[in-house]
Amino acid sequence: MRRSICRSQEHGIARRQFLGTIGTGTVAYGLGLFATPSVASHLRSDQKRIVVINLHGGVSQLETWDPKPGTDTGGPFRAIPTSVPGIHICELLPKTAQQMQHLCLARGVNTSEDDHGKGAYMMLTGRRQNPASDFPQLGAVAAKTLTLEDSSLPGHILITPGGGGGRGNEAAYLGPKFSSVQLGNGNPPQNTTRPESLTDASDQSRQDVRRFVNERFLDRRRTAVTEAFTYSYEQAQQLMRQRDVFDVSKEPASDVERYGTHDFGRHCLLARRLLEQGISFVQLSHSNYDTHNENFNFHIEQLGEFDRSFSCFVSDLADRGMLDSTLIVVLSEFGRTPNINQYYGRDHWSRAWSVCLGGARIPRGTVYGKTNANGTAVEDGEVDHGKLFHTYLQAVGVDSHGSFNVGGRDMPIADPSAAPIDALLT
Amino acid sequence: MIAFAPSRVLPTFLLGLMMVGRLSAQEVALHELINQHLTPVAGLDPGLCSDAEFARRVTIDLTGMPPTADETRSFLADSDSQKRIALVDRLLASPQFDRQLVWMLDLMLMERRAYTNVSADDWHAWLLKSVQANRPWNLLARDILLADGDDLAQRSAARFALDRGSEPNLLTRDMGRIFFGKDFQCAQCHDHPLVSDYLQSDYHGLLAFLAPGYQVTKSEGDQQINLYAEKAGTDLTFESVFIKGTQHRTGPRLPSGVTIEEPFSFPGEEYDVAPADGVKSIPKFSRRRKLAELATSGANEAFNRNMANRLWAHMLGRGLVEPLDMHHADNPPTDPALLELLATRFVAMNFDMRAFLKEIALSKVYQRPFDSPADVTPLAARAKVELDHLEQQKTALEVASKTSQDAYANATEAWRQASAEMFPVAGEVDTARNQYVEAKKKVDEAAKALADAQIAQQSKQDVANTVAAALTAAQAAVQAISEDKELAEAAQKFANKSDQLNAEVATLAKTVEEKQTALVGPTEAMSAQRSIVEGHVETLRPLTGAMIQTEATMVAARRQAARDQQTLDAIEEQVKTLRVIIQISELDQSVSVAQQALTAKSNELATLNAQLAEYASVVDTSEIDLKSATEERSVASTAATRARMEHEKQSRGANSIATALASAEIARQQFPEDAVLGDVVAKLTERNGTAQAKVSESQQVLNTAIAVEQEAVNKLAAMQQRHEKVRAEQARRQQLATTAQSALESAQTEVSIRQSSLAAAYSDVQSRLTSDMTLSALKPLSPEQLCWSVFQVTGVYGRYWQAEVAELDKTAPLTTEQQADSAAVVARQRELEQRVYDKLKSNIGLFGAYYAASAGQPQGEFFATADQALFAANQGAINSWVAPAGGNVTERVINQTDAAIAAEELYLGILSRMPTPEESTYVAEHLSQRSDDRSVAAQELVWGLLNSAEFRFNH
Repeated sequence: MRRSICRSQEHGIARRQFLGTIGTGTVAYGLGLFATPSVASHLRSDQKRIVVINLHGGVSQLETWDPKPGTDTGGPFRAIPTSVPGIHICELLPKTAQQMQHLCLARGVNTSEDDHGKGAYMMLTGRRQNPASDFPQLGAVAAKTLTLEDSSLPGHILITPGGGGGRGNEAAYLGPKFSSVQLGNGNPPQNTTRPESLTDASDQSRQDVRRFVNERFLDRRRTAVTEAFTYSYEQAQQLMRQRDVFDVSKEPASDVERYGTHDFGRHCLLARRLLEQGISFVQLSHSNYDTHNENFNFHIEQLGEFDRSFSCFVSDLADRGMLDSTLIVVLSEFGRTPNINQYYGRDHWSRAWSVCLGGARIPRGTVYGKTNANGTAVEDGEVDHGKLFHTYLQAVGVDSHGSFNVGGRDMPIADPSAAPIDALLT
Repeated sequence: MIAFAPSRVLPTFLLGLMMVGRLSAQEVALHELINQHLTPVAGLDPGLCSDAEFARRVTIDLTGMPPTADETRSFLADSDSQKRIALVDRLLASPQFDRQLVWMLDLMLMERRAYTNVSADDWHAWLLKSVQANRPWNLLARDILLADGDDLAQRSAARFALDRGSEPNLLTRDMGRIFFGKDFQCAQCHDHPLVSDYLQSDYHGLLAFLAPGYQVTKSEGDQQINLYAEKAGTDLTFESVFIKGTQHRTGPRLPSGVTIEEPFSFPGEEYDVAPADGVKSIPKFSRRRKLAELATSGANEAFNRNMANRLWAHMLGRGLVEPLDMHHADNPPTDPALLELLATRFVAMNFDMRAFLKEIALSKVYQRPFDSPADVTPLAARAKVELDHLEQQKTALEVASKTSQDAYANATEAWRQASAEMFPVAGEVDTARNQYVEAKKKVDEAAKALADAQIAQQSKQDVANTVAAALTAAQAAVQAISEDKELAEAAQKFANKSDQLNAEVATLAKTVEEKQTALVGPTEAMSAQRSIVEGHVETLRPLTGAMIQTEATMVAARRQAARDQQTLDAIEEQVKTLRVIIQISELDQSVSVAQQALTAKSNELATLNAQLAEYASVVDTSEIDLKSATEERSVASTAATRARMEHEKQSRGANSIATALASAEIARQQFPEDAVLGDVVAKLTERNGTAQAKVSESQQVLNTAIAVEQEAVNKLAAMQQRHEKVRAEQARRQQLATTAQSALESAQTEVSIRQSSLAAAYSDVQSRLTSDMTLSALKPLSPEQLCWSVFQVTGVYGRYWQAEVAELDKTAPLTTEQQADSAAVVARQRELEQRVYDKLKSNIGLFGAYYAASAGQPQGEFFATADQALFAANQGAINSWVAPAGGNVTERVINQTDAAIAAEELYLGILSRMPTPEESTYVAEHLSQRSDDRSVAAQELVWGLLNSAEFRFNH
């Protein structure tokens, strides 16, 4: 036989075995080993995860995390005590109030950006939009830093309210590999079902042909690029075998009932399932909080759904011991004006609003930052998108001062002119 | 003599002309010059790739898809030694080449940005027209740099700016990257932290060209169209975010160029068409025009190198500079001299992309094989010689580099100083200019007041004139009819009115006079201010001149420093490659040594194991002896015990008899006469005698048994002693074998450690040999190429082509004359290509959704994701193209009864090569097992080949 340049037969075999091992290893975990408590606890110690719940349109901080009852801006709702003495939140979140011991409120958010698109960009990338550059979103950064290279499951999942799925576009210079796999309305990823005309045996047979053809070629030249290419096919096969990971109907009916049968409830339950299966980053959203009209009625309706599902989600993560390893972020593109307009609405407002955090290194049952009496300005503990972004990453053990090397270029992971908020990290 | 005089002059002159003529006639072709560069290190001769590989490689690179099976077959069968050249020529003349070049330019220029101002069809059509006309790159670039979108024929050219929102910073970044190969993004806010020669002033110098650009929306009928208009430019000031407080200032300056001198225009005098709502302004001095002119004249090194490198990268899979937009001093080209040569010759070829690609395709380096060299150890000796040579060269170059670095540092300092000297004066110009604007505003106000007054006076005068005319008419009437009282009254009224109006006119005239007087002051002030501005401009002029001079020096010094640095770095890379080769040879040696040691250890272990094994029989014998001695002893002991018991029994009997005898004797002595007693004594005496004899006998037996036992005990002890020795010896031998075993294991570990170092070194040298282009690189197919290649090999492209041929043959057949007219034939080919493209183009988006990088990101980076593989496996369209249809490869495989020919169809059709015997066998077996579902089996084969790495990567 021709002497390959890499001349070490052992080397080649070792690599094949390496990939083979990964194969079986990940298949095993796809078969639901992680559902057993022992494996889940193993996961807890090793793997960090992030879940982002985006309250799309801009949730009102006054009707949620930072109520100002009895003031000119406070609106009609009361503040209620929570499971943490001294912390009060809006009465529209009674169930969430009972989970406050797991959560942390940053009440001094000031992002100075009242445009939906720009605000969302800033909150998800930790940077202000710049025409000459584009930055990766948190999900892409998490997928790159928290997901094992050989994981057969995607590291970045976006549960969209509707739509057909496909690949998102959040990774900027990190490349599409780290863009989201979108689960349109919670459905499994695209192209994960075999065409009906194709039998399993025939599919396996053509995969065998592919492997056979590759063998000769890869014996001539094997590089990181060919490895990545051939591995993507094995990954796809594994993903198909693991399709159940994405199937929320496999969750007990009692949980479906508990979370609520509406889309957001289903999406929260799916998020729990995905995180449990070891996926590093899940983002879901709840629409729509852009309440220029009838702010109060809308919030009663929307937060009713949110409160039910979110409180179940937090308490389940805590019960399952996943909170230490999972960062929860509830954000919006901005908050809403303290001023109530003539249509009983509140408008865009980014000077003094709140973000709710929980899990990972975030201190439990705490409040950081403070707004003034009627919520028109931050008085203490001011944070912005840049600081928060650093904090999210530090909370899951990523050095946010580090850089990615992208094609020979060092790209700072987070805005180098910002830093994490130490008080939000234990 | 005089007659000779001119002839002495002339020949030199003519000779010069002739030499120029001859030089160009005999000018060495670029591909030959390329061959002289990039000579592999250490005398390595990789040779050329096979014909099949060449055909596939060049066809994909130049047409975006592999050759058909028939094309490959006939190329392989062709015995013409010039067939590779012929193939390159044929491909370059094909309409598919035009399409491929359009794709390349499109991806490079627009990076899949959304079509917001120009449609995809218009954009592609415009690029295609330019490519078909073989528009040189510099002119194409000029079209793009100049276009404002107003000229509908060139509107597509404006897409570069328009679909970037005409945003100056985005355009600065992308023009820097795409036209000059320099990504200045990180230099926007400060000097680049990592790249020493990406300066903040470079970014702002380029931005100064583009900052006047803006988007204006013009109404065209009921349509609104965006234009990329331009205002008059100003200098830009900037400061580093790291060093606050120090302001810098720059005018327009190209990367690797000097600041342009721009005529000073007074405010209000800068425009041919001034900016206004919905109006495309036209400045008297267009920086954009200047940028286009300077960039594309052939004198801008960065512009020239950028495209030479990009075209090279298209063919070779990697640029001489990589990444393509990181040309800078610290990122050396693989071969700096070659890049310089390519750039120079590209300019000399008038930026003819087609001709340039041809030269690359003909070069040996393009035709290098993709296989790694079998063994590099024989190169070590030569490598050492080269290494020594390079080390010497390096020492000399290091000195030169140090000198040029110092010169650059000094020149930079001088330039910074000159800039700093300019700075306050430029500021004074600005201040004076602003004051002029203020003064002008006052003049304008006064002039406006005057004009208003003049208008007021004039209109009053007009009324007065009318009234005066009426008065005259009335007076004439009064004279005519003097007695008419009413008339006289009326005339008097006119007279009164006229007097009043004249008085008013007089007042207004006075106002006009006042306003005229009021204008004098501001006008004089403005004029004075104008002189002041001119004075400052005059003061600034020599300073600017001096600054530009230092800048020119700085730019030259920077170029020299970069050149020296890069030459040094490129040598350093070669040095590293040579070192790895030498290291491989040493590692190879050390692996052999370790392997020998391993063999020795293994032999030693074998010997010791043999000795251990041999000794087993000794141990066995010893154990048997010991066992039999133990048994003997046990038998003897039993016998002795038995004898002792017998003896004791006899003794006890004898003693009883003796006691009885003694008692009987005493009784007999007391009763001597008693016969019975006498008889008893006699009988007892007799019995006693017998018993004593038996005792004696048993004693003897016992003695013998004891002796035997003793002997057995002794023997056993001896045996035990001997056995202990044997066991010790066995243990010793075992120990030796164990030690040898672990020595063997260490030797094995050592071998594998060395082997993996060797493997690592080999993989290092492999990637080095790929970087330095000794080996051909793997080129992932672009989404467009992938889509077209799938269509080609599954017969889809051919079917569509045939359908269009049939359609045109029916609707617009070529006449015999046209068939003989090459222009008409070319036009027909182009039309066919366009029709097929239009039918199939929507699929490019389908592939793009999975295989393309995101919009606005560089498109060359390879990535592989599970969703691509899922698409390839499960998406309906892919499976439908693989299905048998219209004589495609799947159908041919199904219908082919000869398995060997079926395998050939498959491999030639999809991978453009003949199958190996092993592959033929595989295909035959695969098909023979599946006579029931041969069609499915054939589709499996086609799918497997389509999804192989060999198909995914051009190589």
